[in-house]
Amino acid sequence: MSTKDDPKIAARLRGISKSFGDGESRIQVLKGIDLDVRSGDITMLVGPSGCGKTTLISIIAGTLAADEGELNVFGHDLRRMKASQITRFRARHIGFIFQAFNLIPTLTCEENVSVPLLIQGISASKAEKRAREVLEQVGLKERIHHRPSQLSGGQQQRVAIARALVHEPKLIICDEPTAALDAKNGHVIMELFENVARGQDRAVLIVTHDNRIFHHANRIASMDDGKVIEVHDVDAEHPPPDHLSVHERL
Amino acid sequence: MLRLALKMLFGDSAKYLMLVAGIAVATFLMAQQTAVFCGLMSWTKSTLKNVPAPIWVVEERVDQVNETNPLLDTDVARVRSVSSVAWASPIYSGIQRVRLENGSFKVIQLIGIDANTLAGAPAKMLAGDLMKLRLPHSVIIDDLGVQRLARRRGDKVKLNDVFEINDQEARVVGIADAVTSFTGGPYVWTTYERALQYVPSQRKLLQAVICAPREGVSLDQAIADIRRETGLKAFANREAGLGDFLSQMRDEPTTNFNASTVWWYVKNTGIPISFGITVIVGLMVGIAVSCQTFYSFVLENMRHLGALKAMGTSNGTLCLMLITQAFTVGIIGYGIGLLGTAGFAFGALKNEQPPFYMPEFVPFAVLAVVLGICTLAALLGIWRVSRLEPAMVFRS
Repeated sequence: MSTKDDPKIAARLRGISKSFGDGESRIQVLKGIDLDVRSGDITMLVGPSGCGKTTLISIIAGTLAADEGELNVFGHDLRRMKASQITRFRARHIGFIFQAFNLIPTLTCEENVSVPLLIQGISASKAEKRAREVLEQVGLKERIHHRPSQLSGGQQQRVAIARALVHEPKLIICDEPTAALDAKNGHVIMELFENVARGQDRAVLIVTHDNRIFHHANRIASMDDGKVIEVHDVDAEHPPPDHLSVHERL
Repeated sequence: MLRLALKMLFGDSAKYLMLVAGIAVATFLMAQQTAVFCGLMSWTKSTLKNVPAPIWVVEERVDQVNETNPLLDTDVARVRSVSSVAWASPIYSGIQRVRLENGSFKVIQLIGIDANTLAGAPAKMLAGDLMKLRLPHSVIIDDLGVQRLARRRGDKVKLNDVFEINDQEARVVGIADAVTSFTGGPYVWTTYERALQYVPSQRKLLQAVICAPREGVSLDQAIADIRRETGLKAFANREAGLGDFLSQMRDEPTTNFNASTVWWYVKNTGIPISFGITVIVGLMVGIAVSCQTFYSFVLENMRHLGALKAMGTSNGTLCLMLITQAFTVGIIGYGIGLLGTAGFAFGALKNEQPPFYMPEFVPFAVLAVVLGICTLAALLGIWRVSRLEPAMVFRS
């Protein structure tokens, strides 16, 4: 069954495995991962450091190739696509928010946000116009000509979110989006993600250690030792289980 | 994306300025040193420019105009007797010392020309009358001599001013435009007979015979006839081309006196080596500074380039960005370096030294070298970026 059969499924992973190294130094990082990421949901990947979360999102994003298993993203079998096709697919369908933001320090907010559109070949004037609209949506209308170094951590994170949303991708992958933020700013950012996921029917996949934001998730996939050990659907009646928070704190 | 690449480059002002400075210094060293070398080489043949004649005839072992062996006075008649020669005149050319009115001495390049025909006289007079050279004690000096032969520093020699050559009076009756001599001293023209009076007595003083082919006879034919019939060495006095030097390199002696003179200096002095070393140093500075700085610029931007790659930028676009950055720096640095060279040239030409002559090919050759340096720098970056895994941006 592919994601085409169920339009709500943004990414479907079955039996995904990944190893690094050769011979005796070979380490199996992912061991047969099964996971569905749904559009309209915020899916969180949690687990201790070194459990394979980052490797998993790299594979879903198409920046790393899996060794085994099936990987279907919006009806595309990424494992059968050529590298150049995957690059174009990423440019069109996936938005990225990196833990370190990775905003280019010599560009203004407007220019940083317009990058995904420029990658797609859209003219600079159109890209910057669209970038200004999205920056306004994330509350940075007054900061469009500022450089990242002139912004606070929370503001930089919002610029990174604007950059991830500007080309209207269907899947947004976030790596520790609230790690560098205080509780108040983290809450504001998560409300933005909720709006993007539920209001605009996009899939948001978040890797996090931050148990303060677990209640914003629709699904929480808990990983350990290269496996997804449990998946919790979260709603008003089913809050995130306490042991996840304890686990994260540990 | 190329605009972004340029913004990334210009935004890192320290690296950008370092890159531009590296290329500018390399361009300046390569262009300026090559031009000074070419200028120095052009000075070696300045006598041939200042004593214009289609053919120069010298003693058979002579290879360059500044080191001639004396001929017999009868050799002028022997050259005249060659059927393909229209006219021939004696030339004295040698370094002498002038005593100025204030008692100081200056070195000059004394030229003695035939008083009847005035063959070998300067081509362009700036002041005075060439015909007055036939008057007693008359000399013509070049524009450099106007300053060098003045009584005091800052003064200028005027017409009818007087100085001494070997205790004999020399009165300035004309000022000519001339190319500076290799020794750096001014040119002083007088008649051949008077030159022999100025010069300390020797058995043979004729340095060369200048002549022209008869109408309808080619220069090469006349040269061949003179060589065959007199046993003397006849050379054409025309601009040297690349072919002349290539034939010299193949050990096929040229009949072009300009090329033969320059080649003699290239082969027998350390001048090309010393200038060549500086040009190579310029090249090494360019390569070392530019490649190292650009590579470090790429390394510093690796996370951003990785992020761009993760967001869907193709390897081709990233390579194009790096090439744009490297070549932009190269062109700007080249422009500044060439501007510096032009500034140096302006000063050199105004003061008539140091020697400076930039053949047309030099700026193009230097540009090619600079673009080569930029290509090397870009390739280093491209090699690094092509090995970049986009997944690295997820690792903190």
